[in-house]
Amino acid sequence: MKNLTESKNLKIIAGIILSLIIMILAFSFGVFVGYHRARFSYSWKENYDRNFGSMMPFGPITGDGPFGFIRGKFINAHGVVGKVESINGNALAIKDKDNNDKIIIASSTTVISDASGTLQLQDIKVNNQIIAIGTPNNQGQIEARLIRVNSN
Amino acid sequence: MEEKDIAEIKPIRPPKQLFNDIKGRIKAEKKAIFRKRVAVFGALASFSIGGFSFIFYLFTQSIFQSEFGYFLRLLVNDPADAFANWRDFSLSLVESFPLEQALISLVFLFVIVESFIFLKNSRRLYSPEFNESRV
Repeated sequence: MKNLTESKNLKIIAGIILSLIIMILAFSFGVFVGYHRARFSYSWKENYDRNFGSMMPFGPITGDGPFGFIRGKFINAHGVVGKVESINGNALAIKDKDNNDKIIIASSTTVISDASGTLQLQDIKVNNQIIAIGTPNNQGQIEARLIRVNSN
Repeated sequence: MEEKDIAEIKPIRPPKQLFNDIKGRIKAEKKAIFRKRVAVFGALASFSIGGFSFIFYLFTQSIFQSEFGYFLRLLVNDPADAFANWRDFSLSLVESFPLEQALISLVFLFVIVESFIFLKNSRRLYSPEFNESRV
């Protein structure tokens, strides 16, 4: 038994199996994240005119720059950092750092805060810089769980 | 040939200088190989260190200026809320992580490490174990 556990071949086999497990887990995780991004990007494109009242601007959505070809043309689905362009009830139109337009939906459970403490939705003004995280819905919008207002 | 003829053949002795000549030639070859390896190491290390410095600078800039840096700051500003929504928070981090710069940085780092291993293996040309086994 001691010879078996010290066997070099056994260690090599164990190493190969462990590597395969790690690769499969990493691949699965990548597929999971990619799927969510792709689904949100699709629903965002499909609902663009309904959300923003205009045709989607022509050109690449994101993935510009020297490394954009790797990231592809998907937008982030679970968060946004950008400037408030307009407010319509509980829907905030945000222009993010990649110049994409996104809609954030605030609900009664959304936590809104800034450096001074907790805020209400009506405290958010146009041109405020915000950081929001949330869950994407089928209308290409993000249902915010947390909105942090940065002081300008 | 008869046995008498075979016995009369004088053994051929190599010239006295031959062994020293061979040793000298081996030494010269080892020097040449070592110089080439050092040159290759120099080129590889310069290219990879330069590339890594540039890409790592871009990577750190991306961390702080991209959405990833802002999301990360939520851990400091609103840790309780960030952990309460850990799933959305972690996915927002993963989606905004500057993956390309990180990957290219790691590639350059790998080349740097491999170039130093290459140099270390070159030193074995002059190690006693290497020389004794060939003499």
